[in-house]
Amino acid sequence: MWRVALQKTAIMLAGVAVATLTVELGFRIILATPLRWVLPLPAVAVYGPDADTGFRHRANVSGLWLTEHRAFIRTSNLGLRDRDRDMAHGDTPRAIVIGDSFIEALQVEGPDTGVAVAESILAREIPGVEVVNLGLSGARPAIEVARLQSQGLALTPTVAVIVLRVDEFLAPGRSDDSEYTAYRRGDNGQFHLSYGFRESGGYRFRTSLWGGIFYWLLDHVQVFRLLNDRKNAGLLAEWSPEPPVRVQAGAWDCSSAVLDSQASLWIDGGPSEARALLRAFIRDLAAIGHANRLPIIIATTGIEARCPALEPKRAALVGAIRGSLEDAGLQFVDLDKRILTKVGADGVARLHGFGARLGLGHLNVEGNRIYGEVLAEIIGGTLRRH
Amino acid sequence: MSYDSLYFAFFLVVVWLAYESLACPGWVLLTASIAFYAPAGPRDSILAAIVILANYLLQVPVQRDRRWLYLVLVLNFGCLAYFKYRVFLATTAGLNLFTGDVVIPLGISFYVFQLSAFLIDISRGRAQPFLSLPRFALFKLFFGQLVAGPIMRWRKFGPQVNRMFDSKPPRRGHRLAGLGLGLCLLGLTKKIALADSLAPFVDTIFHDGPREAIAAWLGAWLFAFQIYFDFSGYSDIALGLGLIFGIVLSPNFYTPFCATDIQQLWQRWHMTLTAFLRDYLFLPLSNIRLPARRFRVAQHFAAMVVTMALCGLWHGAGWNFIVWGTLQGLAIVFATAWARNLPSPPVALSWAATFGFFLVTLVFFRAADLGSALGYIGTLFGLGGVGSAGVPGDGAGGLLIAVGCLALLALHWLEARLISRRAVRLLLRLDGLFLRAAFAATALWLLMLPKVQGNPFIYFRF
Repeated sequence: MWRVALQKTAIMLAGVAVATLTVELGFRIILATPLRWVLPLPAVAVYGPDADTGFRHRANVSGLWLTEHRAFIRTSNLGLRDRDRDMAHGDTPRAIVIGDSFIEALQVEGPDTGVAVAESILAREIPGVEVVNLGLSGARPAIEVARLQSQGLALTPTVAVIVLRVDEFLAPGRSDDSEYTAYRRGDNGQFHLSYGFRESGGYRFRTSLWGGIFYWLLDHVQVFRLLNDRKNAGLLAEWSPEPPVRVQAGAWDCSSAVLDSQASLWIDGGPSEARALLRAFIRDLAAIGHANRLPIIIATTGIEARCPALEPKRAALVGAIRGSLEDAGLQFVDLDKRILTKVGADGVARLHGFGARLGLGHLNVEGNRIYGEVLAEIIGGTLRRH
Repeated sequence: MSYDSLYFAFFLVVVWLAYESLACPGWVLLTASIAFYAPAGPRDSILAAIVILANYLLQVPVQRDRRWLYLVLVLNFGCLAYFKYRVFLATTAGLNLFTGDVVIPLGISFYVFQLSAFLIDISRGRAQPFLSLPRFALFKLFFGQLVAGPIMRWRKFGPQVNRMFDSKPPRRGHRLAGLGLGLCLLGLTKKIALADSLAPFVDTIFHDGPREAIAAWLGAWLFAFQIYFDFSGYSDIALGLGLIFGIVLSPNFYTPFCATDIQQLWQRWHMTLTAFLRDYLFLPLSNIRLPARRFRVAQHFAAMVVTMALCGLWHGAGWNFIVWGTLQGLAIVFATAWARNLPSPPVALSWAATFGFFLVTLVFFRAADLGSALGYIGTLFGLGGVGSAGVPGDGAGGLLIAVGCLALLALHWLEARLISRRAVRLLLRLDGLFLRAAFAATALWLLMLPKVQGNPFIYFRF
């Protein structure tokens, strides 16, 4: 009886194995051919553990990005959303751009990212100039500082641009360092970078031998990627699908609520926790800039620039931000305004989203091109002064 | 629940284990079917229960006195009209009675048709009433055909339902389970790998409007295959689920795009709906006695156009659907008249004309409204773009897109070979634990692909 049961189990497992190999082969064929632009595939997993920021891109990972828009992406030899390059760059100037998923731009091909566009524009004027993409999805202010400190300075940049979403300081959970680097209040009452995630089981696993095997499988076995996708999405993800998004391209919110909350932070100095976090962010960047003689430009986003009625309030807020940053020796750029100047109020929405979701989401190819042009202007201005 | 989800796979495993281990397969399937429908929400569930109960109670009266049938039909189609067409009908009549979006109860178009067909058959003496409520409920609620058909007739489905509740459980499922799993896998492949992959391109072109004729043709071509793979995929899964549990359901598709005339296409597209419309709408309309015999041909043709216009209306509450259906009716009339009076054109030409006509008229089906559809069709024929959507440029050139479009047609042709009698016989011969495990595992891998943005089966909305 046991023998029969074992025999049946073996036959069943053989069937499962054949199915798995067939599916793996199918995915590989799809990935290697133009079918990858149409047919379903597991998404590439580009992130791995990092002691300084909690997570970062792993080096030389390639595959198809599927969220919002399909793009074949490859991380660089340095583990960045960037092209391959050497750490050393001789006398040629090198700029670094630190930011979140808008700078990371996984939704478009490598040469179409805003940073790559900026590099190609600047290279016409300054041969050999490099603009390195240090964009990282979900990079909040603490991660941006930690990324500049650890990975940015190692690239010996001539100038650093930090694209900052101003609303990040008011978002909840900014002091939670259980998964990523965060600002936490120390014994002296001051906020400083904190790395609590290093003690977490997840981080320990990812940096262990088993973690190494996990990432190897992720990089080399498509069905393993699929399992990872499903783990991330949830076993019963389809039970509550995302409601269809109704996009009104060209429409934007002109309520003063966002500006009011920002004004309370930058002008009135509240709430105290967010204010302390903001001070720590500016303090640390200023210290890095000063110690390394590095010009640091803070390009702010998230301050709606398309509402004439809010212009006086906005001007006061931008003045306060500029004052706070320039007093600390940092440079300030109003990125929203620069984009608005380039494309007009009606054009901003068309820089975001893809296909039927145009107007909503991350930057599309056109959006990256416009961001690239603005970044080139910002970086070019500083490089010329140097 | 949707067949293309992982949670449905878990549900299916539980139902199958219960079906195999318990001695009351009918009750297992009925319970499973109620659980399957319950997530649709209390409104839909209560409505379905009321409609089913009312039809159950009126079976015997209908058998005794045909006049009860009118009450049943008024009840069934009254429900359908209220829940699906109230806003459309009121707006058309110039009344502003209803506001807000119409959320159509899940599967209402299908269960109303199946129940109505059953009671009409009883009144004609072609079906026997179910005296047991559970049997009657399973006749309509079986989860393999509840939400989007196939629309089953008593003649084929009734005896199978009765067998499920008889003392000896049916054992056919064991022999056909491998074939059933194979059909489920085929259906999932069509839905997940093909229909869902085409959806973003179609959505973009129809949402933004085509910029040029080539983009419009691409959108129409892709939509034709999207809807075919979507609905025929669903139907294959339904058929496969039936076979897993020893129930043989009616097929709904047989390579419609290979048809060489429009009648043939409709005999291969949503076959159970076509048969329903033929038997319960077209033939009665066509057979109404007219005083003058010379109007018989005109009556036949008019019946065809009316039937197909109502077929369009069944698909959706909008003038675009009515126009779509009417055009199908007119095309059938034209093809019939041609066949009677003119020599047959070459097969290739017939095929191209049939497929081309269906492709163009599907724009009415997919467009948001009649105005958008007319604008789109104008673009198809070179009257200028109506939007900003062009031919997708990234990653693939025009040649690759053309090859891809032709590959869809080739797949369609290949499918006819794949589901031939010979292939089925071969599958039955190879059936065993290995094949079933391989089919089930492949289907599971397909279901693992996360679909959190959701591309529900298109016919679920009807």
